[in-house]
Amino acid sequence: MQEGSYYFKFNDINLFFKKGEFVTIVGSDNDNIVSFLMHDNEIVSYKSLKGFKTETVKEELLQLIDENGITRYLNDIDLENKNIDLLNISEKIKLKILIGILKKETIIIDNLLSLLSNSDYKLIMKLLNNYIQQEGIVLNITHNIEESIYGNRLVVIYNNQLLCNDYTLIALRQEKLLKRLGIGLPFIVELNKYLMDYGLINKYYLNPNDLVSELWK
Amino acid sequence: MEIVINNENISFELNNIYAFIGDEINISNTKDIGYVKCFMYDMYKYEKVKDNLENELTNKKYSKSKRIEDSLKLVNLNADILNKNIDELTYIELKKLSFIMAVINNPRIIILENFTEGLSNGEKDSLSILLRMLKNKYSKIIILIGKDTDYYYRISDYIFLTKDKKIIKYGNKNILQDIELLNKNNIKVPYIVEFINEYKKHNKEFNDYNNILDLIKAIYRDIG
Repeated sequence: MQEGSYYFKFNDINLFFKKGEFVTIVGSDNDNIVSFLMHDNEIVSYKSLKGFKTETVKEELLQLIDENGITRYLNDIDLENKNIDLLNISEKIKLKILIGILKKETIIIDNLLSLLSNSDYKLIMKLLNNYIQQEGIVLNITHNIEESIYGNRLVVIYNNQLLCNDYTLIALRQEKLLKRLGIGLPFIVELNKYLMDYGLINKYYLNPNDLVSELWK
Repeated sequence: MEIVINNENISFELNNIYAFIGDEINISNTKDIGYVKCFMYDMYKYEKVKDNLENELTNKKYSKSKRIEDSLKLVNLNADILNKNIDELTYIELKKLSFIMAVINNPRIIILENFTEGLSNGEKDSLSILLRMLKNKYSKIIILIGKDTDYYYRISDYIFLTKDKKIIKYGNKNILQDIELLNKNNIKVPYIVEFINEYKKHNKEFNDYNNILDLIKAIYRDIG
């Protein structure tokens, strides 16, 4: 095991990640379960966000709010007066991720991000990217290949086999593999690829504004 | 056909796919409706797949075994699944099973709540083929509820936007081209709409497209 890396076990597959990595894991079914996580040969705790009990969320969050002042992210959630059970699913998921970030844990998200509201999704992606810049680790297990754009590493696991583990844009070049597996490509990446095939651009532009500017240069 | 949604009587026509985007909605009358709810685990009352399907089939017109066999074929599930327990199924198998449970009695209206959550692009393509067949060949009314604006823009005939349990806008899929309206109501703009909106800043006459292949050909004709 490499020194300084974190070791994850997905069923029979061993994966190593370092701090500062936002890993998207896609593939056949979300039955890929993280067995345990080790760092420097010690087992450490992690938080899986696949399911959670709402009664613990409020207690944890209230304890952390004063210490870290994250109320600016909670402007639309009045924790003092609102019953946690009345929060909608997006608010609950947002809170849970915030707790993980505040506690500086390795964050494992299992097919939850698509349940966030539009504004919460943008906020959470921004926070998760800030978090990895502070040397956190985020694992996002998902069926939605669009979410891979936010990560810096893409892993493809299919029928319990590791088929790809690389930097995101390099991994996304494996178009045939991803289409054969039914995973596909993010819209903006697919658009870039077609435009490159037509000779209209010669490198990737992941921001629509930048891509259009290049086309009209 | 009329359905009461958020206390409003709304008329739906056969052979159409409708999408409700925004808040959760409340459907009052459930006659002749097959409904797959967001948290589909609630649909299963028995341990075995076969028991769930046999007990769900209440329409006495059908032979149980034939109807179940036909339903499994509809979603490409093998008959082996009948002897499995619900907790042995993969997520996708559960999704497919929940779909069968909703359509097994041949309802006129099929409602799918957040159904595309957890589906890959390939699985969504398969779902599109299935829904279009049900709409066109079997004259169903399909109602999709959720946030997946990219998918609804491709497949829906009509869109309802909801907020605070009220319908705030209704019309054909062009509603999802109104970026200001979507942003104002915290609804995700489809990726293709976002791109075309940027492109139109350079060519106002550029048309709208809802699939990437037509878009690429149009860009090539325009610039290439």
